[in-house]
Amino acid sequence: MTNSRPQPGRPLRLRMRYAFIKTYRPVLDDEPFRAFDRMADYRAWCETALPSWLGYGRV
Amino acid sequence: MAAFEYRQAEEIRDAFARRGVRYLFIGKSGAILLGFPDTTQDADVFVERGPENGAALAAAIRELGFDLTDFQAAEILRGKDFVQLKNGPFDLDLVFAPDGIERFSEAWARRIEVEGFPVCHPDDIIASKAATNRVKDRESLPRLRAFRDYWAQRRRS
Repeated sequence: MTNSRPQPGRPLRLRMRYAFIKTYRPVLDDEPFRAFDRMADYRAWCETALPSWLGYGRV
Repeated sequence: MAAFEYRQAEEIRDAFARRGVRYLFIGKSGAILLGFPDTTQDADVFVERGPENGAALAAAIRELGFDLTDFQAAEILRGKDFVQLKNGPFDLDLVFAPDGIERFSEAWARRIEVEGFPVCHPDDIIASKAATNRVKDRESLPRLRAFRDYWAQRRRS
């Protein structure tokens, strides 16, 4: 384990304020809880259930 | 639902520490903690799989204010690969088996601490996104790789 030096410029607290945004994503944001046995199940669900323009489909 | 904030990252860090949860920030949220200047919507944590850690995690999640039913807590304890929580004060993705990373212990050994936040090494964040290979990952990977090089150079100097 190593420690990262503070970044120059804005402190982390301020960078995070601008880095995390919240917009509504259809389907993805419509359920309060989802659990998938395997990552492959989640990836398959993303490809079939989510609009392609969200970018969760595999290339 | 408001956006994820530093204060909430602190709450995760502190609640997980109190319960002894072994985890790492991963994904773009991890990269942002390391200084990557980009935006994202959710916080993602890579959690070590195991009954003890799972129980500690479920308790910490409830302590953070997530409205977990007993069934949902059991799903976390059962060791699913991926759990998406949108029933709390912020959105949180729990990843137990990220693509591109073999073992938690190896990622843990490579971790970076940023203001007390345990974060995956940029190489692991990149490996995970490269293995996942989603459209949105392909868009950000070239910049993430360039950032990793910049970040590594700064650490050496």
